[in-house]
Amino acid sequence: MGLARYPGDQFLTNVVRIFSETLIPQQMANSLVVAVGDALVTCVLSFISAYALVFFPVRWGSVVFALIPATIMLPLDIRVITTYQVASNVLSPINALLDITGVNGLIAQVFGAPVMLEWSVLNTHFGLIAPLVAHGTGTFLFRQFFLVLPRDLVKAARMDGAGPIRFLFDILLPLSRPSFAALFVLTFLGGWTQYLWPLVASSTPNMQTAVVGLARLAPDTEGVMPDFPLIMAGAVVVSIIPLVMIAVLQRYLVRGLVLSEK
Amino acid sequence: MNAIDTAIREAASAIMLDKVSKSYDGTTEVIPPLDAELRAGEFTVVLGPSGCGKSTLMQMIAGPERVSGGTISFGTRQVQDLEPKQRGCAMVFQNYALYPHMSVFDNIAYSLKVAGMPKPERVERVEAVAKMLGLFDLLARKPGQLSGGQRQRVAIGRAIVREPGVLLFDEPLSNLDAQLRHDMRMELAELHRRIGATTVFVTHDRVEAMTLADRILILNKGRIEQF
Repeated sequence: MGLARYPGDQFLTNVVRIFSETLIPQQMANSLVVAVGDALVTCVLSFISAYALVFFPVRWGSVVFALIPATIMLPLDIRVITTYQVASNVLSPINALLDITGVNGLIAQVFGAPVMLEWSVLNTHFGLIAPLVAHGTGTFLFRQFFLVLPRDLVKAARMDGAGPIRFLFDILLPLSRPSFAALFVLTFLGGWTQYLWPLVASSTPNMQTAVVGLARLAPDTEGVMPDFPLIMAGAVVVSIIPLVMIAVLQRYLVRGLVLSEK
Repeated sequence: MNAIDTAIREAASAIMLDKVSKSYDGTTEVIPPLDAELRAGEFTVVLGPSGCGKSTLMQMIAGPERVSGGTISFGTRQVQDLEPKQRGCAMVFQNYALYPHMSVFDNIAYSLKVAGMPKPERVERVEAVAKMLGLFDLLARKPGQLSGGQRQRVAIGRAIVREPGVLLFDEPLSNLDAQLRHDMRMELAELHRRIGATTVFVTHDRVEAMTLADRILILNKGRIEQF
């Protein structure tokens, strides 16, 4: 038989079953929140950090910049256990600090018990997004773009009376639009297809993302035949949004990554 | 003669350099202490070979570059510690440095917008400048759609729209071809006759210096050789 070129006659039935029998629609909403949130925050953070590194005399600026690509070498998949520990209690570093400095010992003596702060972000949208956003790729992209801008542009803006904030909003931001679009699409796709982190960070099905939900459609119990038609229809539905995204934004994607364009 | 000409002529002030020096690392002096008085309303050309410090001198007068020592005065005001926008001078850059995403109108109007000038007044000013420079029909275009000479004129328009008392040119003609350079030279001379701003023009081209200048300041290794 080989590969089927066209969907069979049960395709629509299966798509309807995806929407009526599974949690995929809700999980796609989760994915959308995670991917958009991830993309937006990454864009903003990268833009601001690159702005600071390129246009201001930062002490040890090159050292700071050398550390940023290092985050690319430490992807989430490697630091997933540590990340899980932090996400399960965001305030644990403060606890540790109190312990190490001996402040907690004092507090325990005075009040009878040491301070144990706790704030878990597991199984929340914030917890799904936050560990993904601090990523060096975007900073790198914007930095390279800023470096090819004529230096006189900065001086001209200063002569025109624009301070750092005005320069940022009136000149740098409009010029960076293609870079923004490129980074947004790339991060969005990364966030949408992210598997490992949503898998460990979300514990209830209605907080899981679509990709995780899709994997869960196959039963783990041995001897049970997975419902392949349903799973495949689900895969098609889940792929539609990133495909649309690429279709709409691909010309920006190319323009943003080709830096030499005038 | 219109309002802008008069305003600039009135604002034109002498530039006094008193023991101005510049050093980037504290030991080697790019510009040793230097004294000069550029008279109000005159067209002074700073002439010198590459790397003699003429651009640095210009940047110190304009503001982006700080002085390491000495004082700069416009008229009676000491300006060396002021931000560029407070000094009341404008600058035309070698590669124009127009804002690529803004129309010609917005490019010229930007400094007025930053200064918070109301829109009707802004439009009036920009249109007056555009007429003076023959840019009126191009106001809606983006810099990318203009020829070299037109871009040059936009850069000049952007500088004079604020009615600066001091007008600075940093090798503005070096990007143009020979014919255009000649034409722009004539235009600049004509412009200076009309608006009468105190003008400082940096170049390494002797012909340019001879044709344009009221006075020529020859700079070599940061020292004034002749003035």
